[in-house]
Amino acid sequence: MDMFGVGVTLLFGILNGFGYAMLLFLLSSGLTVVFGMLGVLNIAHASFYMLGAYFAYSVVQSTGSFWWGLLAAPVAVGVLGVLTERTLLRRAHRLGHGHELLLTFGLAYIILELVKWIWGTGSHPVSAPAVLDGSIRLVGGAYPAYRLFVCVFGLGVLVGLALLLFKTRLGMIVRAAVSDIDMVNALGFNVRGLFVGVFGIGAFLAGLAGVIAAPLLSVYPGMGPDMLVDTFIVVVVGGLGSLKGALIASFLLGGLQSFGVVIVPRLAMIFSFLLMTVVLIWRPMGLFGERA
Amino acid sequence: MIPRRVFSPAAVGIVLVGVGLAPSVMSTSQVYSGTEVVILSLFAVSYNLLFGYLGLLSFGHSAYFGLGAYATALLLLHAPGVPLGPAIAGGTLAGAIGGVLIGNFCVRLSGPYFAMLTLAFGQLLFAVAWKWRAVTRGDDGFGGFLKHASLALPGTPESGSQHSLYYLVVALAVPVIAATWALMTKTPFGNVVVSIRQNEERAVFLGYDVFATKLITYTISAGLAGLAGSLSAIFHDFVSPSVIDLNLSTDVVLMTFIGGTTFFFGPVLGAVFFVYFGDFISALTDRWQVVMGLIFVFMVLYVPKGFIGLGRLIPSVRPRETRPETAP
Amino acid sequence: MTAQLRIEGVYKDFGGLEILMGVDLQIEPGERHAIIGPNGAGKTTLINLITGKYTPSRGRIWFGGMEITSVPAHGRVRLGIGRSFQIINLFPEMTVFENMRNAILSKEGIRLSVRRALKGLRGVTSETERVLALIGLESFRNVPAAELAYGKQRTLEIGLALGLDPQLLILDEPTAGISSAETREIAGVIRRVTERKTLILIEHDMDVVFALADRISVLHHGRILAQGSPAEIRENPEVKEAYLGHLEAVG
Ligand SMILES: Nc1ncnc2c1ncn2[C@@H]1O[C@H](COP(=O)(O)OP(=O)(O)OP(=O)(O)O)[C@@H](O)[C@H]1O
Ligand SMILES: [Mg+2]
Repeated sequence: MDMFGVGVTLLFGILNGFGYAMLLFLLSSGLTVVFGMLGVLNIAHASFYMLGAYFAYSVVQSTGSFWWGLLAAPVAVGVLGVLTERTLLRRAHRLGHGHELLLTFGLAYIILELVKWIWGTGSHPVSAPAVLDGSIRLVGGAYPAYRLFVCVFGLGVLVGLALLLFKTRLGMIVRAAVSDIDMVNALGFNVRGLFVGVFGIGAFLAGLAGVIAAPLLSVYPGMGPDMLVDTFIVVVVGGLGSLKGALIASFLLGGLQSFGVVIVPRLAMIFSFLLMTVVLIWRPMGLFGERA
Repeated sequence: MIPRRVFSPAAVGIVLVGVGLAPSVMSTSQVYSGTEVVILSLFAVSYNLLFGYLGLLSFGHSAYFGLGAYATALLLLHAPGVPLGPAIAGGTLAGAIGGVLIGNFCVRLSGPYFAMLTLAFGQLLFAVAWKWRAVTRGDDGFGGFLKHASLALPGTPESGSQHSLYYLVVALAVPVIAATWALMTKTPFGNVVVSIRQNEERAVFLGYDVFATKLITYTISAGLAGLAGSLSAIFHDFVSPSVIDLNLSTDVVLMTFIGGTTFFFGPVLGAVFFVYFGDFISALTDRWQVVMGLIFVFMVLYVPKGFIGLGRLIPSVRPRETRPETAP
Repeated sequence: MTAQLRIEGVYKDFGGLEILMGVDLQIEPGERHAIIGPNGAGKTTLINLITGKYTPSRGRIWFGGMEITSVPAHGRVRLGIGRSFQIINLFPEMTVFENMRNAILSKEGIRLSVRRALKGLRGVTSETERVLALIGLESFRNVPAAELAYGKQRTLEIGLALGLDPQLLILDEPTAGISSAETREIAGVIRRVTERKTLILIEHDMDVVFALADRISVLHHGRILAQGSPAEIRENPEVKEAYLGHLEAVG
């Protein structure tokens, strides 16, 4: 391979890593904010991601359009998230963090089994929308258009999220609640109401990640657990409760995965584990976490 | 060494006669599920050393079950003629060694951090079992490693039958469960574990080494899980990544919690329930796990101490609890 | 004679906020040393550094000639530093007896033993009962700690530290939150049991301080403001200003 070829491979590697980082951030942002606000580690978070993908699959099946799936599935998942919070999580909250964790675990278990029941245990392909089906010529190489779309779309969501968090009053309150929920409560804000909203948005983003992942990774029952592990690694490395940490760790992990695949194709995940282990030994609270 | 006078002779007698005679009145398939129950009981008891005793929720306990299963299977496969005893010991040891190495990282953490790290390590070992085809044959798994081994215990029926497997499993698992019970409920060691669960800081400032205690407990737990895995490999004469996968890790959370974590034998009850009730509902619907999950969620919300906790409602059978709350 | 405890230039900050700013302290064997100071002065933090709950940001600590700055907390207990807590810190579901037994087992070095059943350890049982009698809790033997009245929990809180029979006993506000009758009772117990022991006492009740201590350090804004005999401290104008005045202002 000449220098130019190496350059193209490198660029595509970076793009792949970037796309995966966007997926990871869509998932980990919700998880880490929910944890920051109420100390709940939501095991079912990756189940929302999986449901997003399956809903999208069904919508695409019946309407023939990926765009309808992209529109409808995340909303449905978000609504499901709100319902979950209002009915089950709220009840478990009174029993303590241990029970909340167990509850979300039970939910993840049930959702997984329901998915297998409804959609079967096999994997389903979801095709990218026609306009994005081909490849794009990029500095002399051919890069799948859909992957590029994931990068751009992810970046768009990221910017939108940043605006929401840093430019709106609601965002300011959410950030305050993550660092000190008691204070926000004392100032008279309806913390529980805020929490439902955040939980719903987190579920929505997870569902969104599921939809855009579907054409890349296909849709199968193991996709939730697979993603759960990577999302956990991201929030642990970034520090539970830290959005900045989640963002940086998403990029770290996206990069590691993307280039790890080149170096040891079958065990790329080992790099993620090494990253997590090193970070946990060095800084048990994660890169930007405040509590261990 | 088991302390003197820790077993009530009557209770020991009843248990021994019960499990000893059970196969003579059971069909082959009942003996089969009975064996499964005993193996899962051991696994759940090992899990509860973490969940109930240390208050640590692990999502990767099948790692040690799997290490035990693969180690025993590989020993028997590659060293034909190796007696079962050393093969089982090897499986147990593999679990314990895995426990020391991984536990060294995990037990420094607690709550969600512990849960996440155990999940990650569990998935890592699963990936190794899945992808390292040269050794594990990946997804296909492998079996037939019992060809050369003799299963018969003295005084049991012919070798290789469902019955002799049952007796082998019982002869190892029941005494080990009993010894673990004595360890956790009767000895100074068990007392330290319970104390740490109740108030870690005070335990430290009374001079107890919390990290060492947790690591030892984690290692024992992993070793027992390794033994359960080892027995399972022999029982099925087959291993595949399903002995080390996330399903098994989550199943053991479910059965342990449903049985009750605040009492040593709660998880045994959970294993019995899981196997027999699972059989019962799987005859009605093929998605019996959904029902199991619903039961679990219901119990998390309304019966947080598990079935054993219900015993508290009946004063005469109220179990003596060793710890305050359930979950971490 | 080497000092029982020597603290040299100890600093501690929490996330950039300096709580202790260069504390030096030397305590001789057999000394009964009170540390007083207004709320938030850093008294408990100092104890947490001595006992190893936290490590100092700077500075060193010696115990009986041995540097312990980086010895883990449980190791310092084994070397002979026992403490009680300002906020009750017991094994809530365990009985009074079981709580105390945990201290006695550790004192006897029976920690992770599996060789004997707990019940068979007669020496431990009788020693536990002896210490319970000493602190007047023998009649509450089988009551879970969480169900004790607050004053009795206080007594047990101190009792666990006593049960370790440490060379250096550190009591963090042993009379916090209890009635004046109970305070006298507990002060009596402390006096009786700590005869000829090295004692560090943090206490807001000046009667208790003046009755028990033979030296006093005043901690103020993370520094030792004054040190001396009870009489000297009583007369020190700076102390009056900083601490006693503060108390009057509050009370
Ligand atoms: N772990 C910690 N993290 C952050 N700040 C802390 C920590 N521990 C103590 N502080 C702060 O250090 C300061 C001194 O606390 P400390 O408990 O040492 O005071 P004290 O002299 O014992 O007061 P009191 O008489 O109220 O017990 C307080 O402002 C407290 O908020
Ligand atoms: Mg204090």
